[in-house]
Amino acid sequence: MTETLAALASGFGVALAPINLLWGLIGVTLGTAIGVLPGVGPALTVAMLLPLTSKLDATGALIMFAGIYYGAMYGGSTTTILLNTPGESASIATALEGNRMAKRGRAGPALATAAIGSFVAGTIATVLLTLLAPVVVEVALKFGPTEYFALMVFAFVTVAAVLGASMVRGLAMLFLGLLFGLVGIDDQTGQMRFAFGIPELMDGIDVVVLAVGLFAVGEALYVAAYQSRMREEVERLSGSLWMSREDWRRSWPAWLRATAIGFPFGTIPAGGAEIPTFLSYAMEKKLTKHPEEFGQGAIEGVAGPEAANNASSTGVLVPLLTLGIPTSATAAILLAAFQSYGLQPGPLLFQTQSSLVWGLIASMYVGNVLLLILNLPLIGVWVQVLKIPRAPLYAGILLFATLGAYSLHQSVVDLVTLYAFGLLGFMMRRWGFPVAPAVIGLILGPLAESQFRRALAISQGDPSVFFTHPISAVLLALTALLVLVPWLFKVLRERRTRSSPRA
Amino acid sequence: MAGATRWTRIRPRAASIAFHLPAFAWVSAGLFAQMALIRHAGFVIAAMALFCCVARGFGSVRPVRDAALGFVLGLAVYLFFVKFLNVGLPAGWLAPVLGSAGL
Repeated sequence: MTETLAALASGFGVALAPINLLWGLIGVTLGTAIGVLPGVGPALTVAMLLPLTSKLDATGALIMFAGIYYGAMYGGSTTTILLNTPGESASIATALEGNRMAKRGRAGPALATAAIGSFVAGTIATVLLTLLAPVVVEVALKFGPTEYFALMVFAFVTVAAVLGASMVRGLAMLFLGLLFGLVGIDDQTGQMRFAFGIPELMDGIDVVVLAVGLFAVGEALYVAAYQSRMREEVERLSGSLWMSREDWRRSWPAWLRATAIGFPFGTIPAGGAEIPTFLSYAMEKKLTKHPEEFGQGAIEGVAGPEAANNASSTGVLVPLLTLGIPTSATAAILLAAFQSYGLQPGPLLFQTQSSLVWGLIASMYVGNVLLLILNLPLIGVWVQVLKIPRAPLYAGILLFATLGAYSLHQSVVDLVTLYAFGLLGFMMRRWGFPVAPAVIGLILGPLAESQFRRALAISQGDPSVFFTHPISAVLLALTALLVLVPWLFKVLRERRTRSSPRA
Repeated sequence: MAGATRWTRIRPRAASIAFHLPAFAWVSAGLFAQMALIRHAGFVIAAMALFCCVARGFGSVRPVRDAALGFVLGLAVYLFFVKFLNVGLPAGWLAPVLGSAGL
């Protein structure tokens, strides 16, 4: 405990150094902006900025990337409340009440409860991260390659099979990502895999090209083809931003309950903040003393989901930093950012790069304060950002997307690959295939492979180690249950409906 | 029969929304134009072409304004990358102009 506090104190020394403070400010400002803008998300932004890592210092760059990550959650709520079309899935719950409040002229209090709720949840979640991380590190230090491989399999399957709407689509995308991850020279044997003799494929598929292609080019093609003729209305921000005493009284219990729901969901591989936001919404609806207001703009329905959203996004950093396991697309891109500095998140990073890790954690306390200032007094600025017309917005997004891909190797081949991934991303959106499993497969796949081979090398080629090591056996059994139980339920239900006489 | 239900499940989610081919084609054309132009015409010109085409695809009817916006944004990015980050981007046709301006 005292060790943790000492580490955190030295972390604040790093985070409060003027240059890192500046990187943090740039990160959270950029994060809020892209959160507000429809069509740009944190995964895409960090991916576009990855080529810059060769020019920047690791601590500063990672503080900025983390700022973009959690800053986007703050900005997202502004769009959700003021725009009649909800952006990402994690903000659908907020949109239910938030947009109603804005329509009834209560946009100010809705934005305020979202921003303050995000601050409360983000800060509490960062405290929990600070306390929990050293404990997980302690356990993780005992893990060998066998346990890591089982843990990665568990993460793959939960992210791909359990979360999305369809297990088949999730697994298909996971294996596509794993396949992309195999392309290039094998580190251990020097063999060429899936490169088809094309020299550009020898280094493997770059995460920047894949992620930017899927997110930016795919998204732009999709929105152009299906939504470019759609009208959007931005609600006017009128009246006071201040919440009344009544608003406060109804908001704070919702913030705290949502934090308690959101943080644990973030820490387990349950990718994305979608489930906790809906759980929080359902809970507030059940506990409220004003059930008649739900559906008409109840403030609890904004306060809860927004806080849950933020708490879970901070929770995601627990497995990422302590185990090196990303559980969302953005977390996978953050892992790639660490890798581009030759750093591997995990228990050893807390020992070898203590000042970087604790500097990063400390920067999140600072970042949340900066975000509160950015999102309340300066809300008018973000409303203007929201009004940028779509034509120049998407043209600008593609300009930066192609810039990111081109600056990697100064090669037109990367632009062609980018377009190919864009077409893939377009088709995935069109037919409802999730993107996150593909990105996680690409980035985590090679790590899982090397753990797998190391485990087999230690056991001298005996694959039974995965089932005889207790931790690994439990994780693999859990994974099998997660896949089989829903399927069994479905088969049983179908059988029952078939045998029962039709009504 | 089971096969048939499987297939209907992976049909488009919202079949009612029409696919707008011109918009899709304009965005694609912008990306192809950039691939073709970036080596010889340079980054700024390629960025301008990309910007115009994509904006057109999203329903913009002001090509001159889009071209100006694309040019200014492309130039700003070019200068930032070349001057501050020391990342080389092709100057292309603008090389003499940028050169004589000391950039």
